[in-house]
Amino acid sequence: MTAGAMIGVRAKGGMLSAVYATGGSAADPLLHHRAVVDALRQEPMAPLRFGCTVSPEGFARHAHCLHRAAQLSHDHVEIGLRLDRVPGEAHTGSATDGRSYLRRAAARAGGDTHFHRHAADIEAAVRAMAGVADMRRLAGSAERMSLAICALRSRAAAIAIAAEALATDGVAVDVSGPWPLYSFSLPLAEVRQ
Amino acid sequence: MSYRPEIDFAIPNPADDQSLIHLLDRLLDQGVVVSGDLRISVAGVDLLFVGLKLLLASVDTADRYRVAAHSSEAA
Repeated sequence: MTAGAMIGVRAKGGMLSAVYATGGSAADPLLHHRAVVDALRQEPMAPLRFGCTVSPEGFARHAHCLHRAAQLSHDHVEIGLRLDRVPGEAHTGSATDGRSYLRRAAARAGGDTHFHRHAADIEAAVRAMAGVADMRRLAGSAERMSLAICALRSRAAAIAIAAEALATDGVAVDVSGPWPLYSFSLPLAEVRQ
Repeated sequence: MSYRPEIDFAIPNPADDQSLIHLLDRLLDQGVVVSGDLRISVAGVDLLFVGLKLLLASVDTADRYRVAAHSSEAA
């Protein structure tokens, strides 16, 4: 990326147009983020991820999503919710005999199921909270679920506190933000499972 | 909790690993390809030109790409 990288898409009078970083290089993710925040302080827009540009066909193909994100950015922010599996004692023993190994493997497999069930419950509970306009799953793994919440700014602090309180045995909850609506400007990649 | 209700947008401190990781989760989640050119020149004469294509992705995304690549190789 060079100076003047695309950082967002504004929607004015029903028309979409690109917003570019002004001055300085946007080759660094943190600089890109600062440029996005500066631009959002001037006007609402659909913020773009680092290194992301929207082609003319992209404007047409994703018009609905871009319009919606630009509209939501008036009074919504993104909250990050990271759910991490906390291994129990049974998963972390160090005895080397075969029976202990099999016991740990069984506990780990059971823990995966337990984690995903509880993480899905937390996801559903947050989705039902007042002020949550949308939610998306970001990259995850067997031991982590990463969620993006599009929340009404006036309700965001209450949602963050309530979400953190949903931590249970075996699931740690970490809440971050407020972020620009990075995860809601464009459809998620098809690689998403 | 690293949520900061008193500010309009979180801007991570580069020295704060956790908040930086949260930001990169959002900025790089799907992976991006950065293209660029690097020219090394002396006194206005180009000595070397390198075309760059660099994939940046979060660790989780890179892992999914790796798994997907293995699956398609095996198929």
